[in-house]
Amino acid sequence: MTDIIKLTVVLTLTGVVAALLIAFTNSKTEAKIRDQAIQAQTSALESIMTPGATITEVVGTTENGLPPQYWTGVNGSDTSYAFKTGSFGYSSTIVYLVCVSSDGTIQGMSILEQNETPGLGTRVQEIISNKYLWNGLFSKKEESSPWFTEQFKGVNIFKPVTIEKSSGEWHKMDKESREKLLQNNGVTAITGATISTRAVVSGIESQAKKYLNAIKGNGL
Amino acid sequence: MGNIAGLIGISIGAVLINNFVLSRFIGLCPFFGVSKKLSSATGMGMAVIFVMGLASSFTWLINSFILQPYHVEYLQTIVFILVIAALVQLVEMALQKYSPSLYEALGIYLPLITTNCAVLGVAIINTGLNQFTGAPFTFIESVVNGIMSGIGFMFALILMAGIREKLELADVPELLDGLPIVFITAGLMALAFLGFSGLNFFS
Amino acid sequence: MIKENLKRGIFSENPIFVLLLGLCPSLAVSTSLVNGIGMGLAATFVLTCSNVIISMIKRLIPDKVRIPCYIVVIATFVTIVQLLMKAYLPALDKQLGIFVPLIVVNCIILGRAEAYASKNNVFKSFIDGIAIGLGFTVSLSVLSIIREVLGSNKLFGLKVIPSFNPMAVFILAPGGFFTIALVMMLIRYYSNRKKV
Repeated sequence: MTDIIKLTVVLTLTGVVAALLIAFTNSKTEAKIRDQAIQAQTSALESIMTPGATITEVVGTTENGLPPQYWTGVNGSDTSYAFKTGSFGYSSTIVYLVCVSSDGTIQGMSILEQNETPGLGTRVQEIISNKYLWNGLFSKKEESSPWFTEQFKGVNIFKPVTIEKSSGEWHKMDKESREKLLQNNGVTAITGATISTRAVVSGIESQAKKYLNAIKGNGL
Repeated sequence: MGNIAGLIGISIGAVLINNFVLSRFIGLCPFFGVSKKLSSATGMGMAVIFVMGLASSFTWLINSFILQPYHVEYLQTIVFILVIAALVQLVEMALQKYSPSLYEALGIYLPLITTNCAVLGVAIINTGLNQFTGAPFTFIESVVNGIMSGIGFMFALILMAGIREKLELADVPELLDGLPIVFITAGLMALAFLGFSGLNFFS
Repeated sequence: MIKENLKRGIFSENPIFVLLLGLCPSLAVSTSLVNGIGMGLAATFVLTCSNVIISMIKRLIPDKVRIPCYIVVIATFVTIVQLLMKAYLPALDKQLGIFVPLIVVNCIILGRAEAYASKNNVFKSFIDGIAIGLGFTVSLSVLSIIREVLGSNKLFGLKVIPSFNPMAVFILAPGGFFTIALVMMLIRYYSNRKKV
C-alpha cells in the first residue's frame, strides 16, 4: 500500500515540475513566437508592394465576399491590393501573399508557409544562385527572390492562367520566351511538383479574383 | 456518416500514398528490427494497428476537450506520450487478464510500441489538418487515419519480412550482406510506392 | 576521458550506422545539410539535458516508475526545444515539422538514459550526452551532404559541382535508404581493409 502511494507521489511530482517548466518556457517565448509570424508577414508585404507605396491594413468584415483582412498600397494615383490566401498543395496548405493592381495584374507574390515534399514541392520557395560553394559561402549574400513566385509578375488574374509543362522551368528560359509565356498569361510548372504548382495557380484564380471583385464592387 | 468518400480517401492515402514507413519515414526502428520473420512481423503489425487506433481516439479526445479549450496546446507532446505509455500498459494488463491467447501472440511486442514513433506520429498528425478536406480532423476521421496508418505500417512490414526471408537464401556480395542489402530493398520498395504519389481523388 | 568518449560516440558506438538507432529522423530530415545539423543539435541538447537530470534524480525514483519518469523528463526538454525553435528559428522549425516532437521517441535518448545516465554520475552523463549527440549530428551531416549534393547539387543554397545534373531521387524517400546503405557499405569496406 505504501508502495502505491510512493509511486503516485513521485510520478505526480515529476509531472507537476515538468508542466511548470514548460509553462515557464511558454510564457517567455509566447510573445516572440507571435512576433515572428507578424514580422515575416510584414517584410513579405513590403517586398511585394510597389516600393515607396504607403501600406494600410484594412480589417474588413467577411460580408459580400470580402477577405477578412487585406492591405492597400497607395503610390500616387495607383492603388494596389494585397491579400493572404492559401490553398492545399500536395501535403500541406501553401499560404501566400499576393499583390494585384486594380486591373488584376499581379505585382508580386510571396509564399509564407508550406510544408511540401522536400526536393519537389518545397521548390516553390527555391532561390536560384549561380555561385559555387567555395566562392559564395563567405561573400556577400546576393538579394534575389524565388523564381517560382517571380514568374507570376504581370500575370492577369481575370484571365485564365495556363500552366506550361513542356518548356522547362522559368529560371532556365531566355527573355524572349519569358515574354511569350506572359502573353499567354502562363507560368511554368515545377518539374515533378505539378500538384503544388496547380494549387498555387488555382488559389489565385479563385480566391484572389473573388477578393478583388468584392473590393471593387464595394466601391473601395 | 455522410462522408464515406472522404474516409476512403484517408484510408488509401494512409496505406499507399503517405505510407508511414516508406514515404513519411516514421516507425523505421521496428521496420528493420522486427522484419526478419514473417510471423513476428504479423504479430507486431497487429499490435501496432490496435494501439494506433486506440491512441488516435484517446489523443483526439484529450486534444479537443482538454488541451484546446484551455489553450495549453504546448503541453501536447508530453501529454500524448504519457497517454500512449499508459495506454500500452493498460492494454498489456487487460490482455494478460482477459485474453491470454492474444497476449501470447502480441504481448512481447507491446512494450516496444511505447517508443515506436508511429503511434506518437499519428497522434500529432491528427491534430493538424486533413489533407483531403483542408479542415481539422473529426473524431471518426482521426480514428480511421490511425487504424489505416497502422495497416499501412503492417503492409510494409509484411512485404519486407517476406522479402527478407527469401534474401536469407540468396547469395549476396559480402559488402552488401546483412543490413545494407535490407536498406537497398527498402529503397526499392519506397521507389515503387513513389508511384502512388500521383494519385489524386478529389479534383 | 573526454577524448575516448567522443571517439566512442562518433565511431565505435555511432548511433545511426552502428547501433541503428534514431533512424526515422535521420532519414527524414537529411534532405538538406541545414536541416540535418539543426536536428542533430536539437537532439544533442535534449540528450545532454535529460542525461544530466536523470543522473541527478536517479536515486529518488523508485524502480517501478523509472521509465515513465524518464519519458516525462525527455518530453519536457523536447517541448522546451520546440518552443525555443518556434521563437528563434521559425524557418527551421517548419522544415523539421513533426520530427521535432518525435525526438521524444528517438530511441537514442531513452536508450542512453536507461543504459548510461541511470548508472553514472552527473559529469560522466553530461560528457556521454555530448559525445553521443555529436556522433548523431556528424552522421546526420554525412547523410545530408551526400543526399543534398547528389539530389540537388547544393549546399547552403549554393552550387557544388559544376555542370552536374542533380538526381532528385536522392532527396526523395528512396534516396534516403540508398544513401544509408551506401555509407554502411563504405564503413564495412574500410573496416575490412584494416583487418587484412
